[in-house]
Amino acid sequence: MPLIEVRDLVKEFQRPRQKAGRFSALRTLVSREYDVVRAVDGISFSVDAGEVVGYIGPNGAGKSTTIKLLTGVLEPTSGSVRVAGSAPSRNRRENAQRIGAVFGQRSQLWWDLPLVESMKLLAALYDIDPKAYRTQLAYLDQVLGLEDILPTPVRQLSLGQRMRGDLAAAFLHQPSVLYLDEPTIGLDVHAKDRVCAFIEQVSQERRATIVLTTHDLADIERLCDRVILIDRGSVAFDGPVKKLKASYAPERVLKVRYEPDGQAPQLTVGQNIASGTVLVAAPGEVSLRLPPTASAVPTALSEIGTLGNIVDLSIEETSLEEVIKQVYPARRAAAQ
Amino acid sequence: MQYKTNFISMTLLGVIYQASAFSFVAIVMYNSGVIDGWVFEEICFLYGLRLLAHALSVLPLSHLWTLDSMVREAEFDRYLLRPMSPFLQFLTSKFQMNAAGDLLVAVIVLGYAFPRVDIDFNPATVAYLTASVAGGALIEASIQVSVASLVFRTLNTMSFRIFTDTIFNLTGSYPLTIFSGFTQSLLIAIPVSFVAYFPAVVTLGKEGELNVPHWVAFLTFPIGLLLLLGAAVTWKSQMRHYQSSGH
Repeated sequence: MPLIEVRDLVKEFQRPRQKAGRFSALRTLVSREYDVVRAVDGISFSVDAGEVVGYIGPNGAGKSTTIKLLTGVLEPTSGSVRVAGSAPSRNRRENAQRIGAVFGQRSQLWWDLPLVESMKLLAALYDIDPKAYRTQLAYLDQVLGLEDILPTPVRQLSLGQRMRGDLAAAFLHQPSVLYLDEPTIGLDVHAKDRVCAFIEQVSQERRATIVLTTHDLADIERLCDRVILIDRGSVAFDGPVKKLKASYAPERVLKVRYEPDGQAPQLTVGQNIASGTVLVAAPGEVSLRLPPTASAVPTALSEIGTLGNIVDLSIEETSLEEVIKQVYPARRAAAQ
Repeated sequence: MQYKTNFISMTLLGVIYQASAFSFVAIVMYNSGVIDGWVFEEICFLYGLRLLAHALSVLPLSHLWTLDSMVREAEFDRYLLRPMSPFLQFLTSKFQMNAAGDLLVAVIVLGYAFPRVDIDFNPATVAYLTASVAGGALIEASIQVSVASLVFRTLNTMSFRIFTDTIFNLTGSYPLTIFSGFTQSLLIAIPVSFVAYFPAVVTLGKEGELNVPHWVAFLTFPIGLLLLLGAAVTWKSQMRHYQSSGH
């Protein structure tokens, strides 16, 4: 049975309808008309224990709302969320022992207290026995490097340090599920790398199930086997990162550089050769657009390998970023 | 107690606020001598009793006003993510001593009144008074918490909370009989009169002026417990409407 099961999940928010024209503020005040905003519109998916799932989509797609529904902060308008068989918003305390959550935009640490005091308070809240607390803190120190920041009040931590603190706080009680809502937002390369390394490590060593939202697709490519793409409240794609690339950006570009002999290869741009198309044909350089099949590269190489002495070759895959850029317009077009 | 200056100035503010409110009563009494058969010392007793219950109710809840912004700005999220009752987490999130000023004035006013009023001090009276003050504090605290919990839907409860507080403050500290018949029933219903008036009537032996059955005056503590239960139910049902913020 999957650890997290989401079925036809819907979350609507109401807001008073703003009136226009004369006395608009007063009329808005007395009116009982509401606009209903569907932030999450019929999402279904399931996550098995130990999976690392990237949950991505543009701003306002419903990512954070979904995370809040998964963690039990919000109650679904309809549909259901089950984590280990129970509804998070109905069994908060039981659920809280099982999950850890980090919201990149908002620290959950005690602002005025040194980080170590936050840890002690959490240990008391989660009823962690002193021995387990020491072991886990030592583990987190080793993974996240906490030693230098533990005595510092949280308000004096840099963003990167604070995020390490937040991650440690979320994982102190050894939850089996970790929800990370934009944990790398605003971080520099080094700090980001630290966060990613933490995720990799707890995933491998502790078999933690991780649901990660981010706008940084490099993080997703590095960390996640599977990606769920949402757009305007519903699932646009759910599957392996590779499959997403294959279905939306099925092409690769093979670039070959030859020993310079001053002569242009006897190819023309747009010409079909092997199973690909010529993109560039200049002295000492040829590039081909190829389909994603395994045989395409060797076949093409055997054809153009004879054109000169190859000094360098590279195969460029479309970045996930490029893929996402293509997904949304394609969906918008299909919807019309 | 980290911020000493703040503590002292907040306490002072409480003292000045409550003392000025009380001096208004004192001035009125000075000129009229008796209100509806209650002499100055008896009014002091009633006033002090109400203020004591009020101070005790505010002591653990002095930061209740921060709930509004906490809900509006989604700071409340974190309480829902931890294995402890969100209300308890909120309650213990801060401890402000603002109510210390109220408590101080209550003790002074009661200290003045006790030796000057005619009370037959025996274990039963002491037990009754203690239960009544506890009940009165529970009544006020429960109503304030119930009103504050509307924030999950309305996002702002400030005026409603101040309104409730003012009603208790203005009407709870005086003999019920100075009000008209309709207002009297209203004050019994909401139930301001149970906080201090009924306990004061019983303790001072003024049962003659009650226009409710005698036993009703003994209900302060049970009503406090009942309202506490009501507040818990209200809080729970309102919390389900929490919307967090952002999408």
